[in-house]
Amino acid sequence: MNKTAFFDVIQRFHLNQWPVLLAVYGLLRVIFGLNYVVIYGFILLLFALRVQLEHMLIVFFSLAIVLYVLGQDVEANHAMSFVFGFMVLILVRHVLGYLKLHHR
Amino acid sequence: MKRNIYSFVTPFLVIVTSVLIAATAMYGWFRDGSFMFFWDSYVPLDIHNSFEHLFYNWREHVFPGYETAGWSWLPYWAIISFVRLLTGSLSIAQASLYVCLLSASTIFFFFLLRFLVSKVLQLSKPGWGLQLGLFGASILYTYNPFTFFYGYFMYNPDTFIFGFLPLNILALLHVFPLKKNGASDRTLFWVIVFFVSLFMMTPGFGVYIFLAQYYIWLTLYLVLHWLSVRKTRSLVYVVQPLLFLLLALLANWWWFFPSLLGFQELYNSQSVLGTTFWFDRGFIPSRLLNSTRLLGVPLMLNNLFSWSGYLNANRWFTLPLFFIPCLVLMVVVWFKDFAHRKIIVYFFAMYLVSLFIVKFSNPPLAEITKFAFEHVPFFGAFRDSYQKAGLFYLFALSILFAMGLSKMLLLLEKKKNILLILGFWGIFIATLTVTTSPFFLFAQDNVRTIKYSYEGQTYFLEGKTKIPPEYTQLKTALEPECRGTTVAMIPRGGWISSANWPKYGTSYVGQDFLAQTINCNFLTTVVSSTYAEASIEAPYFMLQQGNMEGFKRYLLQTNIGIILVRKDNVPYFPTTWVHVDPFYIKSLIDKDREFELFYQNDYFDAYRLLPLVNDRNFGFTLTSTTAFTNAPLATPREHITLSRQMGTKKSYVVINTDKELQLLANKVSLYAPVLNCVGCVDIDVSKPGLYAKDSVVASLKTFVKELVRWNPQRPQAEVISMNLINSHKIFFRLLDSLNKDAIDVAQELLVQYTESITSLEKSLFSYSADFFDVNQKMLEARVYLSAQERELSGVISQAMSNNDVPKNLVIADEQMRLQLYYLTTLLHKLYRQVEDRAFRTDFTNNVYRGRLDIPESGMYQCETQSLVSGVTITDVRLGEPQETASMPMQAGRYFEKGSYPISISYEYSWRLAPLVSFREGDYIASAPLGELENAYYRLRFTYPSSLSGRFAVLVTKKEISPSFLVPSQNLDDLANPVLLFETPKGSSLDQYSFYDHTFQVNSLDVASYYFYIIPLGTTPASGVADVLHIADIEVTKAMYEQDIRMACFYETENRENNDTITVDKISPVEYNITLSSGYASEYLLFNQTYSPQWAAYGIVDGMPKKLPHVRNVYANAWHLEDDGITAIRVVYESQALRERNLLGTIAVFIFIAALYVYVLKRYE
Repeated sequence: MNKTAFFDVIQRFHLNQWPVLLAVYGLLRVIFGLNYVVIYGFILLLFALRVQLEHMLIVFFSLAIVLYVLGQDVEANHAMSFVFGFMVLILVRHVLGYLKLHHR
Repeated sequence: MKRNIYSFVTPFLVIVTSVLIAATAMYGWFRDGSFMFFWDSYVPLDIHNSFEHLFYNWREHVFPGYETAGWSWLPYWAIISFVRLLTGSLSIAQASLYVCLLSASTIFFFFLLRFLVSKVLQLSKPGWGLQLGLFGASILYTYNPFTFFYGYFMYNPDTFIFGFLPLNILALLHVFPLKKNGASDRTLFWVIVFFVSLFMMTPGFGVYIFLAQYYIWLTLYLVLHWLSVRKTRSLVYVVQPLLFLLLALLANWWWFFPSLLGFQELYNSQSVLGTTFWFDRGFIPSRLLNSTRLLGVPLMLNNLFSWSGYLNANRWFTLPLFFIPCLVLMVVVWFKDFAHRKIIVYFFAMYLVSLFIVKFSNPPLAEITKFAFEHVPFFGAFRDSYQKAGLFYLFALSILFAMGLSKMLLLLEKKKNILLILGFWGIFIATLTVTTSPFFLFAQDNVRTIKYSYEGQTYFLEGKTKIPPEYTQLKTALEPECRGTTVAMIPRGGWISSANWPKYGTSYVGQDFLAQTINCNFLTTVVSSTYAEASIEAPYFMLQQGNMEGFKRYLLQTNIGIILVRKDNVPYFPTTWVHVDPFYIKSLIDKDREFELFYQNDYFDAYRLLPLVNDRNFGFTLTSTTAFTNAPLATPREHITLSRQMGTKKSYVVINTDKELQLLANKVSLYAPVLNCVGCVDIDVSKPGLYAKDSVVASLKTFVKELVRWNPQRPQAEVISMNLINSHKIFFRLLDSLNKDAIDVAQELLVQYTESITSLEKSLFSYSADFFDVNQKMLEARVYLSAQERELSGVISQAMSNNDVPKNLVIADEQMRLQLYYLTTLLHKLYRQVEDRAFRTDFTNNVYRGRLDIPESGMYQCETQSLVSGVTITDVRLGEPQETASMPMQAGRYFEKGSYPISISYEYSWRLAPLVSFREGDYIASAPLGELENAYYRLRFTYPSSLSGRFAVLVTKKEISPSFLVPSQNLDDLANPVLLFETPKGSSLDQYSFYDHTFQVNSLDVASYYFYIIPLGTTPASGVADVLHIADIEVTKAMYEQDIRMACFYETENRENNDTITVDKISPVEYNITLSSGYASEYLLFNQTYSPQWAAYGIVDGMPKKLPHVRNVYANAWHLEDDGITAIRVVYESQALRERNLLGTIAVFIFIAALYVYVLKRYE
């Protein structure tokens, strides 16, 4: 399977949709427990799957709410840190976009 | 026609509804004629007084005066005062202001949102549903925990920014659109709106960090505008924003410039704890999980209401608040669907940057914030980051929230799914209900009330109040009487004062009422100058000791002619500063014939001090007496001593540095030396980290010195100090290598260390100099050697044993063990020798030693006293330890100029030997200590070393009970019943260890105290049996440096004269003084806090001449150089500067405004 075909499969089966990704994280979390490797590994997975920053944002925000409801405030706050981080990346992307536009 | 009605109806409805909502929110606070007044919130209580307070930059109403900030609050004063003049009610004035600001906030924010929606969603005519949503977002912006806690419940003028920032930004968006050809056709109108709204925000900018942020965001916006439109007519598009920015800067320069003059001083005083202090403490509640939902506001946690638990701890109540960040995120996700995206990016940047500061020390990337606190100038101003960055955070958040909401409503409208729409509105309403809850849902209890207890009774201090008629009556009686003199209040308040008025059912806790409402000069609250504060605390300490004679002397010396006894104060810890019982003092004053009662009502008794009845010179006096003392005069006790040394002298100039003495030696007529303690303060130098390794620079320096063989001849005193530091460094490197089990390195360092202390011994004991110089070196050596000895015995007692010691601490090498034993003996011997020779205070053996520096030969009157009750002086000896001579405690003695060693022996006439009894059922040993007066106490006992770490000691204010285990939620009372709680752990190798610790009793009421011993770690029964071996328990007063006083004085000649002056007060910053002809005095004194801004101009032959200004302890003095001065004008110079700045700013503003209008019209 070549690279394009791989991402086509991901797309066709909606594997990069945020509810699916949220479920994937939940599964990893249940199997491996509270471990930094899990959350950072999950982010690498998101990047590998070419998930948009905006979708990552929704995944982690949803995660924060779920964790908050489950009473895991520290972990929920950790998820919010990623939300903040992704927002900064999105902002930087927009700003760079404008500067590039002007450069042209 | 239809269109016109449409455009008229919405604004009308929005305005009417906003005002009605604001009035509803405020009704409860003002319905009974009260006004909101709590803690440090500033309310112009008296029109005239508060104008003086704000207009003049010298505040004289709080004796001895201090410099105040700029004029930013003048518009606030003007609005309140205007409505008060119209209605005659402060309550109505404040209520109107609150309603106006809340309404302005909602109305202007709504119109800003409608404008933004028309741009970013391209909706010129939003539907009713969408407009309702935008109005809801405006309500969220106006009424939320942030605005409640940082704006309204304890009033803060930042509410002016809440109210007018939306209008200001709306105007900015019209004047400088982020799209080419998007300028409004009514630019000039919006320019005017911009500057009017900017002016209206002035009171809020009194918190300078808001102003700084405002200009940063304004500049960024203008840059963004310039980047967006720069391709056409570039010069105009550079000049116009530049002129605009300049005008915006000038619009605040008129009040900011005076503030800038005292800015550095203000920043220094506010960052006295260090800029990183607050950051290092951290604040978990403002973490992202909370701050993104507008929770975690610090004041919300410090100011508890009956409903606080809902917002602070109830996770289900606050769950709907996730709706806020959720909609913000939707804006980010749907970013591409918006038009005019640069506006969104601008507010998005404002949101993220502010949020990053608001979250403070919490993740992510808190290291960046820490770096900024440590290295970015003035970043420490963000110490209460939620408040300081929260204003722009709230603004940006509310805008993004509203944009997300609008987008969502449009989507739902398209879907036409009624269930989804209802669900969405349900969540929105739930969010609004929670967010606005402090104003509406919990309105029945949203006035802050402090509950505290005093002598077994509960009292309340409320955040809203009314001025009782007794205060108004006092004003009428006191103001004519107090002109030209100072009023001392008993009891004294803190910076914040409090009063309870049960007959009116009200109370207050806030900035001192009297100093704000009555036009007199009050000695009542804390001032921020150390020396002034030390002086004005002195009379209250004297009153605490029942020393009326000293109190009266102080009043005469400082020209305090009126005593006001307050009977409406129930002591509350944070508002009480050196508490004295007013009723007891009143009984003493009533007996004294030199005081005369001239006014009395239910809350006050006012007395005049008869000897000062005709002395009403606003603190100005003439003198020729110059006194010298070597006391730093930074504590009340030093001022009490000085006042006593001065005796009946009413006015004098005091110098207290050697430099001043050299300059003015021929002018000094009175010498007042005091004994300085020797060795009272132990310095701890056992910080291994500091000595473990030299810095790179230090190593490089050593290397270069060795390379060039630079070995200059140094004085022996310096050689000793260098030897000490060198041996100390080697010692801690040795410990470090032992810790790391690097035996080879340790061997080498051991040899170096032995050599270094041998060399130290040689240099130290061969040092020949003056007694105190030699002693200084002995004291230095003692400090270092005692630290080394302590560390070494600790290492040996742990490292030689194999029990319960981490493996890396056990020294396995036999040779090294032997060497360490030998080293211990060597070090111990040297330490003993030094200890024996050092002349120093020994609190363990009750000997206080000091150095008396006699500045001039003469017959001195000396007095030695213990300032602690329960401690009696038994002997005073003069001379070096080998040849001391006894000296009477109070006598005259001739001293040659020079330094004298003095040894004072004392004994405890009060001591407790608590009898510890075992309480069977509780497995705890206890002993009552009885009622203890406010003081420091020393607890000492002996215990078997085997018990080290196996029992705890407690000293408590009341009997221990299970309630001690429940952390108190009430932060108001500050009544921690545990004074001492410790587990004694000794490293002694002896059979018995000695416990010696101090604790402080500092209580406003009389209570019984208890001592407990709690066995730990063994079965309770055997534990109790063990702790009964603790013996010789003793409680005495603890002694410190200033607890024994020896003061002398010698007057070379009496230079008192009877020169008189007449003082005419023009304003708090200007006085005209007329001198009697043929005056003999050398100095004009002015008893207000020293500031270089005070200047005196003597009129000589009709010409003004600036007089030399000197600091007189905390006050001012001017040297009358010429004999022919007929009059003197004293002014606080920066007042004129700020007035000139005002006129200059207005002129420049008008000029640039005209230029701006020209550019605007020329290129329109």
